[in-house]
Amino acid sequence: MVSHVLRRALRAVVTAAGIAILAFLVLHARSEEALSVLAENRGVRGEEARAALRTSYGLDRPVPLRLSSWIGDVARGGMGDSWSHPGSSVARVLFDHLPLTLALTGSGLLLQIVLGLGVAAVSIQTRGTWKDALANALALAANALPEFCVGLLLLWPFAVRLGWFPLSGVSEAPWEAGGGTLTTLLDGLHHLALPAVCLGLASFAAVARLLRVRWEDELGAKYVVGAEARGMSRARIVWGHSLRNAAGPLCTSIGLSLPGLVGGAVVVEQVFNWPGLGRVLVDAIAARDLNLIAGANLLLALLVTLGGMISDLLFAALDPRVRAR
Amino acid sequence: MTRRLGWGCLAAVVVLLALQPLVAPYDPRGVDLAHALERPSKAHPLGTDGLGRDVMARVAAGAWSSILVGLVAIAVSSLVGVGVGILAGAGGARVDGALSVLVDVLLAFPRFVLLLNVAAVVTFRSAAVVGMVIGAMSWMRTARLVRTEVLTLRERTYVEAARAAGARGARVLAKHLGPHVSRLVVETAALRFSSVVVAASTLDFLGMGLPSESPTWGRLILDGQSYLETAPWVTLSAVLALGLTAVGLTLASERRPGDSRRILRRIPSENAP
Repeated sequence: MVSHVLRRALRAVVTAAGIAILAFLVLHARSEEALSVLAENRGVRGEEARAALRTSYGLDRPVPLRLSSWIGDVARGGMGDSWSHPGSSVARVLFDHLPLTLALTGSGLLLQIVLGLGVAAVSIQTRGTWKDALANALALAANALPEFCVGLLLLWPFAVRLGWFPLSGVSEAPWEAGGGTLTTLLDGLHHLALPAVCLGLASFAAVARLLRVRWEDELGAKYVVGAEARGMSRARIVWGHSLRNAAGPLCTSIGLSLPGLVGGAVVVEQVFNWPGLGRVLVDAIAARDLNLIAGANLLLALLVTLGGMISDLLFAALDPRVRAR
Repeated sequence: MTRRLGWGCLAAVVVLLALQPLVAPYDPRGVDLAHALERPSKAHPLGTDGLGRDVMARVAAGAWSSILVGLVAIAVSSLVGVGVGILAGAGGARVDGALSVLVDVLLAFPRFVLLLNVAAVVTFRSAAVVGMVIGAMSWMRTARLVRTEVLTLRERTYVEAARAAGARGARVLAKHLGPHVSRLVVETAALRFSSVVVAASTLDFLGMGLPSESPTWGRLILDGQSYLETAPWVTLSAVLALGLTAVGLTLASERRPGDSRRILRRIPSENAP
C-alpha cells in the first residue's frame, strides 16, 4: 500500500511538472510578444531601452537556459521574483491567495456532490417519467452553460434584485474590522455562497449522470431482491446498501472532474471578484508577468494532479476490490 | 423530450438571427452616445449599451463570430485529433506510448488555463485565429476516441479478411476504418462546437480574446456587467444568446440508448445488428 501511494504521488508530481514545463516553453517561445506589452505598460520606447528591459528580466538568454534557471528557482522554493509585485517572491504571492481558492473549490466540490446525489435520487425515484427526463435535462443544461453565465444568472436575481448576497469579493480583511471569529466566518461564508453554488451548479451533471446509471444497476442486483424478501425497508435498501456500492466509482469521476473544476474556479473568481489564484493568474497574464504565470501554472497543476491522486486512494480505501489490484 | 427542448433553444437563436436585420438594422459597432443605456423599445428591441450601440445587432454579430470560431476550431481539432488518434492506434507501441503520455498530461490540466497561457503571448486579431488556437487545444478527447476505435477495429475479422485479400494499410484505413472514425467525429461535433464556443466566449469575457471593439458574446457580457444594476438587458441578452446556444447544442445531441445502433446500421459492417 505504501509503495502504491508513493508511486501514485510520483506520477502526480511528474505530470504536474510536465504541464508546467510545457506551458513555460509556450510562454518563453514567444516572450518577445510579452516584452512588447511590458514595454508599452512601462512607457519604454526605443530599441535600447527595450533591450535593457529584456536583459533585466533575463529574456535575452536562450530558452533552455531560462528553463533550467526557473527549475532552480522552483527547487529553492521561491519560484523566482514576481515582476508585477515588486519585492515579493512568486511563492509568497501564490500562497497568500491559495487559501481562498481552496475554500472556493472545496465548497464547490462539496456542492457538486450534494447536487449530484440529489438529482440522481430524484431520477431514481421517478425512473422513466417526465420528472426523470427533466432532472436529466436540467443537469445537462447547467453543465453546458459557461461558468460566467451561471454566475451572472445567479448574481442578477439574488444579489442585484433581492440583495440577499453581496455583489462581489470578500470584505476587505474582515478580521481587522473587529468582531469575533464567528462574525468573520459568517461574513466569509456569506460572500462564498454564490461563487460556490455557481461552481457546484456548473459541474454536478457528471456526478448525477454516473451515479444514476450505477445506482440503477445496483438496484437491479440480486442482493436487493434478497433484502426485500427479508422485509428490509425500501429506504434502507436504496440509501444504505445500494448507494454505498454505487458511490465507489464516483471517486474516480470526481478526480477526473478536477481540471474542469479548477478551470471553472479561475473564471468564477473573475465574475465574483474573489481574490484567489485564478485572479492572480488572470492579473499576471494581463501584466505579462511570465514568472508569476509559470508559478501559478505549476501550483494549479499540482492541485489538480494531487487531488486526482487523493480521489483514487479514497476509492481504494472504500472498495476492497480495487485495493487488491 | 430532451432533444426537442434542445432544438427549441437552437431555433430561438436562429429566429433572433433572422429577425435582427428586419427589426434592428444597426451597425454593431455604431456608437450613438445620445441613446446610451436605453431600455428595450420598438427602435431598439434589446436596448442599447453604454456607448449607445444596439444590443440586438451586437448579439447577432456575436453569433456570427461564434459560428466562425466554432467551425474553425472543430475543423482543426478534428484534423489533429484524427491524425494523432490514427498514428497512436496504428503506429506501433512506441509511438502509441509517447502520444498517450502527451494526451494524458494535456488532459490532466484545465484546458482553459492552458488557453490563458497562450493568450498571454498571442495577440488575437481575428475570430479565425481564436478558432485555430482553441482547436489546437481541443483535440485530445477526439484523439483518444479515435485511437481506441482503431485499436479495436484492426483486430476484427473483416479487417483481417481485407488484409488477406491483399488490401494495403492505406486502403484498410480509408475503406474499412474510415467510416467508423468519421462517425465518431460527426457524432461528437455538436458537443465539441458548444465547448469551443464557450471557451472562446470565456476568453472574451476575461478581456483576453478579440480586441475590445469586436462584438463578441463574451465581450458584451463583460461590458454589460458593470451596468448589471442599472441596465441588466445588455449583459442578460448576451448571456441568454450564449446560454441558449450552448444548452441547445448539448440537449439536441443527447442520445437515447437505442440511437447509436440506428446510426451504425447505415454503415455496412459486422457492428450492425
